[in-house]
Amino acid sequence: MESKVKVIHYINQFFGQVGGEEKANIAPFFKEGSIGPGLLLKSLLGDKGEVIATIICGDNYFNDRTEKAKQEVLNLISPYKPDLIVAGPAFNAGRYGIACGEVCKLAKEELGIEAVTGMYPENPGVELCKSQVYIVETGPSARSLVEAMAKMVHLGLKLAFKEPIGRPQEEGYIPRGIKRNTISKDLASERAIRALLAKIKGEPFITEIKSTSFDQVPPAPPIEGLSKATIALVTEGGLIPKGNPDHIESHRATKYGRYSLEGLRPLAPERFESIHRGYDTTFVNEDPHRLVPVDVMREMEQEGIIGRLYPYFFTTTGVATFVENSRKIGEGIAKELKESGVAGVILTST
Amino acid sequence: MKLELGLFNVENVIPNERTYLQGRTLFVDLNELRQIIAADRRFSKIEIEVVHPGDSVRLINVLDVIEPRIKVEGGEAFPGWVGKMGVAGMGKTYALKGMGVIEVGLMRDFYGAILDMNGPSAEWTYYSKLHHIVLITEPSLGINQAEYSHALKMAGLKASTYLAKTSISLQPDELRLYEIPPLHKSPVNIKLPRIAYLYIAECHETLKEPFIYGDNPRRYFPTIFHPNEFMDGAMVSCTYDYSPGLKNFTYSVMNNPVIEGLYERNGKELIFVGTVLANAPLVLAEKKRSALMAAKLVRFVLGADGVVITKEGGGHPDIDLMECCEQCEILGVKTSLLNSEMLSPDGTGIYSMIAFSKSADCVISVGNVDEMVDLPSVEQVIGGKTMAIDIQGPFDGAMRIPIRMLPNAISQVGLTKITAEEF
Repeated sequence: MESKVKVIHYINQFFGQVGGEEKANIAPFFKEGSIGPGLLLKSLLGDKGEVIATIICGDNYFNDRTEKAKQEVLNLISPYKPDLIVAGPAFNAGRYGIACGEVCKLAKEELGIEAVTGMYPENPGVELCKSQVYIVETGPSARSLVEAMAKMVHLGLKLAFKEPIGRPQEEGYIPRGIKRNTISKDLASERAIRALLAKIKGEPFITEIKSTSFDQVPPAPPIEGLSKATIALVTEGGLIPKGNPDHIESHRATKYGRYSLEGLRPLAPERFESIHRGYDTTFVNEDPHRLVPVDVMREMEQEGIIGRLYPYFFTTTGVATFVENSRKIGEGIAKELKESGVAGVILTST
Repeated sequence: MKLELGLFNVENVIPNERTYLQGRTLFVDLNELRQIIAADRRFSKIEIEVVHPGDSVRLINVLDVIEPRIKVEGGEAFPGWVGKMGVAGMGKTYALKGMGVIEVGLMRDFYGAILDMNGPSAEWTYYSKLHHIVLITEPSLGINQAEYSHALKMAGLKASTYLAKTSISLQPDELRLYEIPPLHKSPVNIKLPRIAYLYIAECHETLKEPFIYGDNPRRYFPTIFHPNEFMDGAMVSCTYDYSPGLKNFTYSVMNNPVIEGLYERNGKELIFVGTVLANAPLVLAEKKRSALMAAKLVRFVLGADGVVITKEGGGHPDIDLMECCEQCEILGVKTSLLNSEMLSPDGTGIYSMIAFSKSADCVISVGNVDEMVDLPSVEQVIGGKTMAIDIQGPFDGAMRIPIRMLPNAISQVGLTKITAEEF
């Protein structure tokens, strides 16, 4: 890197001294050097960095025509080849926060440039970008500008110089939802006992895993006309053709397989086995129909109880699988089933 | 119940023509030990190695670690195995500190750990800091997984007893007294919170559960278990097909830091009222019943104000942890829980557990099991040339593996200082 870090500052129409709400519709434009809070930025950078330009954009313009505004901002930034984008701080201004977050993400994702912004924790821009962008925690209003900008500059320079970033409370940024293993001062058992005693006394205590909840999917309405419906078989029990042609993982799966149910004995134990690591697979390997009941489904097909068995079954291993991966697997399977007109699924779990 | 635990600090282990303990050095006749274990026809081959902290050695296919202990008077150690069926946790037991016995074996579906004796591993897993007698075994032809696992456990416990026997006529470096009175003599009128410990044992299937008094825990209802019983090996690990970062090795069951921590504070900051042992059934209705019965014992039998809850295993025991937490809180018992997190290798996962509860407002993280760690190359690999799980050799080079492959680096009972912090 050259001696000084080249910084572009992004601010809204108000801090860019264009005007208030009545000017919130102006399109992004740039000014050489710094303006408004950029003067503070300039002085805090000292001889380590230089504000080469300021980009000013109306908050409504950015939020109402986000894709267009992003492209315009991108076009303004790229010729300058800056090392760092500093956006805001936006404090508790929601539209401004969203714009700052989007601009920082854009810089990182499209141009590979480091970026830092500052917001009040309740700003909607925080949830939008906190996992991708460092956001310094600010107060709700511009009264906290000096303190906030100092932290943004400190963090921004570290990012530009590729120095390691410390803990959120040390650096002043909002936790990004990324967890890393660290060595604590005390054994986990000690922390648990201490926290419990504090909880009983009504004193503050720390929880290290925050509670959350899973989303709920309402079941689809009942199938009308089962005797004409196509039914599919799906399992997370890890049944795969021997040799595992699609390399499905025995646990922590990232993918699923789709295999034919055509022929007389489609799931013969000579050709299929379960690789699942979470249950005793002996009985399934003796007779895979115990997991994927194609035999019973064929009988029901012949008896006219169901219209047709879908000619493929889907399979993965559901053991210690990340929810994010499970969701992708589920979406992939559901998409094909939906497009193929399948009316119902029997999902066998283990 | 009162247990006197005599501790002998072992600082070196040396192969020798005769087995005895002198000062802080344990001399071991490896041939004699091999003969004792080889009497079990379920093994076709047994090799014994001695490894030390700092050795440039990587152990693979590590299935269990046991601290050598022996019953000196009163009661039984390792009941149902090397001990007769009798009450564990009373009388006098001697322990060799600073060392372990390691069971090594390889069979389809066995999920062994990787243990480096030097390098960064020592910061992550407690077992890198111990001297070990390593039993490297191979099963006889026609022996199935359950039989092999049973043979391995017997071998580990026989070796543990054989080594600890050297201390029997000696004076321990330290004698610790572990005592909790029966409930009718429980201290009253002391203004300290009454704290219990609820231990949820995995009970999944063969190779995926501990044994309690020599039997698997599937048919148990939650029961009052004296903390001293854990120390005397009333529960041993038989989790031979289980992620090493999620299971409780026998060593960590005998040296459970939650129990140690509660004993240390007993009478000073809290009254340690005892332990409840529950299991983790596979059916939701049974989980709910088990949690309810465990909470009932914690509240109305032990009379606890607060309870520390730990579990074994990832996945479904998260549900037991949450159900137990909810039921305890409903009955007015404050809870704190220990749990590992599954957050993907880069730590970006959103759902670190498979169950959550609003009642679980105090959960201590023992780390992200999926985070990768870098191990440097080593001079020697002990424990075979292949592993049954997905990790491929060669094993002497630098390796990048999930931290869950290191034995008890992620410890469900809090044996390490690892935690997962948000950045």
